[in-house]
Amino acid sequence: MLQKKVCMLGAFAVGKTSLVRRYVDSIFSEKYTTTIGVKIDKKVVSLGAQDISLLLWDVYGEDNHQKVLPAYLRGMAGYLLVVDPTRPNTYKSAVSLNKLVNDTLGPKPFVLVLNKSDLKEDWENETVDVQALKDEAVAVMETSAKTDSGVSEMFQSMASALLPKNSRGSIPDE
Amino acid sequence: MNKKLPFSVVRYVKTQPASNRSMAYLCLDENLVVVDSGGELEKCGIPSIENGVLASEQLPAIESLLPIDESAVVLVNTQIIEGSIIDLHLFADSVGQWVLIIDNTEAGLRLQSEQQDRLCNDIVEEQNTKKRRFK
Repeated sequence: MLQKKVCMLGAFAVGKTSLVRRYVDSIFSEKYTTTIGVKIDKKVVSLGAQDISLLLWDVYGEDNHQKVLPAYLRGMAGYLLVVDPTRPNTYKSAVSLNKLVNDTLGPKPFVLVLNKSDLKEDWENETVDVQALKDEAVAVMETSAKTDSGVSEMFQSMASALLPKNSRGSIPDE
Repeated sequence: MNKKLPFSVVRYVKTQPASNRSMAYLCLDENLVVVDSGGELEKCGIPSIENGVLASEQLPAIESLLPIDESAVVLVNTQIIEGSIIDLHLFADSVGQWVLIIDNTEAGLRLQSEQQDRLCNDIVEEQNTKKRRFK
């Protein structure tokens, strides 16, 4: 079976771990638990007749004190770039992480993930220009790990972008 | 399984900061098949490793990292198995490709606790700034 490494990238506390937990273990916790280093999980995604195994690398979030080290990106096929629009500064981290990927590995497919859609009334406008990011992304998706909205669709969209071009089909509903 | 660390591993460890943490290793051939393994695999949270089988089949997390053809790759605080935190060192020499696993659970949990406190404070500070902005 095709196996691909996918990194979860974003600022701290945007919900990267919650998205993985929701998708892999079908659980959600309100309690914030920080990630140190990286947590690695595996999940098989079915895309029509084709299965793809995603190795999900949930990388620690960037903050004022620590940046993501390029070693964690080694061998990455694609990434989920997660922002929390209730905290517009997290767009800034997304822009810098996207640059880190481009500088380290060259362009890789990514999905721009606007998480915490259950708090949409608290979403704010971006503090940096993210139009280029939106244009580069294979998809821009709104998700909520809390309500499970858009989560499996986000991983399926990523998986679909990683399939060889001649075997891509439409993404089935779950 | 060898309990004694091979020369390649001992030589590599000597280049690292002094440590008395549990260590385990895998030695892989050019096809990334495990030809030797040993040390304290169980204490590092790694299930038993079989020689003659692809390393990636036994430790899927390392598939994307291999082969190593330049300088060593180090991934600190890696969590493959729930409850176990390890530092992964990957390097190559004339013998083969080496995966060195060093337990870091104790220090990792301490770091996590410190980081948790710091980031929770940062979140509170961000929320306070936001409230002041909307007043």
